[in-house]
Amino acid sequence: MADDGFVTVSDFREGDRLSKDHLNETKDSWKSVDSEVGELNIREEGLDRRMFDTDNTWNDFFGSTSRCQQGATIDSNWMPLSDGIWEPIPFWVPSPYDTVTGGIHDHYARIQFDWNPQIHTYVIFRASFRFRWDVGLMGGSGYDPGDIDDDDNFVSNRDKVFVQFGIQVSRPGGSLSDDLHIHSFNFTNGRIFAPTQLGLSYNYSSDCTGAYSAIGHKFDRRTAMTSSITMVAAGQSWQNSDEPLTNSNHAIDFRNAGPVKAQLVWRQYGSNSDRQCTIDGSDAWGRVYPEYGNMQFFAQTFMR
Amino acid sequence: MTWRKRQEHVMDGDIVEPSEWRINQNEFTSEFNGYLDNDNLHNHSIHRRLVKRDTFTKVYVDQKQSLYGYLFSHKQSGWTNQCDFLVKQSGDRSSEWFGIASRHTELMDENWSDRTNKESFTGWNTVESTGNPDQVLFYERGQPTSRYTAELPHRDFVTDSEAMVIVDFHGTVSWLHGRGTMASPDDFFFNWYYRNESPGVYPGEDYPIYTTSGNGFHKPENYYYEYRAARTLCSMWRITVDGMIVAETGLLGSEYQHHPIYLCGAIPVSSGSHRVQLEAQTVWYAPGLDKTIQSSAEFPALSKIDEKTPSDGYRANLTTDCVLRWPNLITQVRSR
Repeated sequence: MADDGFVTVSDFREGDRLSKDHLNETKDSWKSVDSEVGELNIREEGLDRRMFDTDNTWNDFFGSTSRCQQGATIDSNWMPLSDGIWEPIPFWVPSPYDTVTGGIHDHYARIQFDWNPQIHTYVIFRASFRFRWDVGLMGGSGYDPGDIDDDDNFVSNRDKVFVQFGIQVSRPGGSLSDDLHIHSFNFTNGRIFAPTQLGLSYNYSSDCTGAYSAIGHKFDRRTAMTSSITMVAAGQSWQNSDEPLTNSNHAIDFRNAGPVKAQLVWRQYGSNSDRQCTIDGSDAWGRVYPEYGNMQFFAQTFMR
Repeated sequence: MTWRKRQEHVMDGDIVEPSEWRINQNEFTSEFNGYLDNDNLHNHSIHRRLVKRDTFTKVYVDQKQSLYGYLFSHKQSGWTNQCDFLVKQSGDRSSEWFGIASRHTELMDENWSDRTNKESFTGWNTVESTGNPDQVLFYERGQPTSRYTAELPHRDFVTDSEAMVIVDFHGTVSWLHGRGTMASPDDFFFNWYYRNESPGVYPGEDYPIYTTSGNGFHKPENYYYEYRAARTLCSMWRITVDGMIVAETGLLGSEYQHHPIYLCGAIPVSSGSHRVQLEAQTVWYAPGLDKTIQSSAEFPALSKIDEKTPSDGYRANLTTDCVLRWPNLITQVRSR
């Protein structure tokens, strides 16, 4: 009988008496492998790309809605207005007008792809862009006037300046308006994955006196935070009902079929009104914008 | 050269010779039992629905979607795959970190009412009940054990054939605000004195507070050009596959309280068991000298504070600095 797709021929040799059993056993063995043909039947290295219906064992091609990019430098005041509220990151410039290429939205890094757990197994989201924010002109000049005797204090607007970024991923068939907070043990419904954070060190910025790119000495970057923001997150379909994510540790749950949307989001500590320059007579009054851009964001789906 | 079914030709009118039948049958069977290949299948005849899951690519996802992070005390030098503590963030937005699940740390609130023995630190409620992280103090007592150490993100897996392993890693490196070596120990000692040395009494001018140089740089003593020799703590990160380095950062300073890191590497592997491992080390770096020394070689804040610490068995620990947060380790295994 067949064993894992193998056919077993009755052992008879020349000179043996041929019986019906010999023929029936051989026939039954062939018949039983109908649904058992598998990898053991294929010669090692015996198949190549030509055998497969398409080359899409994984899927990511330029121009699809699962990928978007943007190359301009954004210096508009798009920072989130409210304290700690997640918002999509605008990646467009009003003048000269420039928008996001690809994806499903002109102004935001927002992508979409179809997900079918019958054929899709894994998906990896990757995002990268540059970000620079010099907070030296936030608030007023000089030290915090409320505590001028303390050499280590500085204007509160420049204190604890940080930004968080993340990848928000909808449920298959779901909306991006759902559950806009970080997924964690405390917030299992949260749909923001791969959070990351960029922020100044108080100890490096405490002597800043309200000057753009104030450099204390050559080793000190003080008021400017500059970094590439690169995030990666992944999800998968279920493997079985008992241990659906056996091979993974908190992969994004993609057990259901449907279109999946994803976008890049951010939030800041404090409100945007706190991030203004209030130095009397300054040309930079009200203008403390981050610069960012050169964005790439895509979802790579693996089928088999 | 591929295998082909060899035929024994039998014509009508021939006398049946058993060998012809048996050889044909065996050849056909042996071809089927493991030697099917390109010549037996039409081009484009295998649809992805026919291909078993994970045949070509398997992805192992390790996403620490939580509020805890891996903290390094700088008491170990060189590359390591273990942190010294696990820490928990006060909220998903705050930059403050508290709630140390430490192997040798006790926490207490400002009223000393919430002292908890170290065995209970697998639960977090006590820590969170303090509310304000500035009201949490850290004391070191006894010798560390391995009880509360935690291994950095890693993945063990087995491949049944040779494969290409591609690793993506991202995370956020944070330096503890307000109580790390890089922070001024003023407040730390201030609170310690208030609660321990003389409860309820703030230290005055008679109790000058020794600090590091401030601003993130430590000026070592006995250097004439002390600013040139000033050192700052840096973190370094790398990914290894079966012990081989596939991606590594340089010295990442503590100028930013929070900054992201991303590593990507690839390496071919043979069949068998494998491990993808994140490793880290912290070092003191002197930009003026372009020299590094091991992180465990110096505890400047600790030595200063010791001058003000009574010999009652407590000792202030200011060297719990660098935290890895939100690490995502994603391992692709490409078989074809």
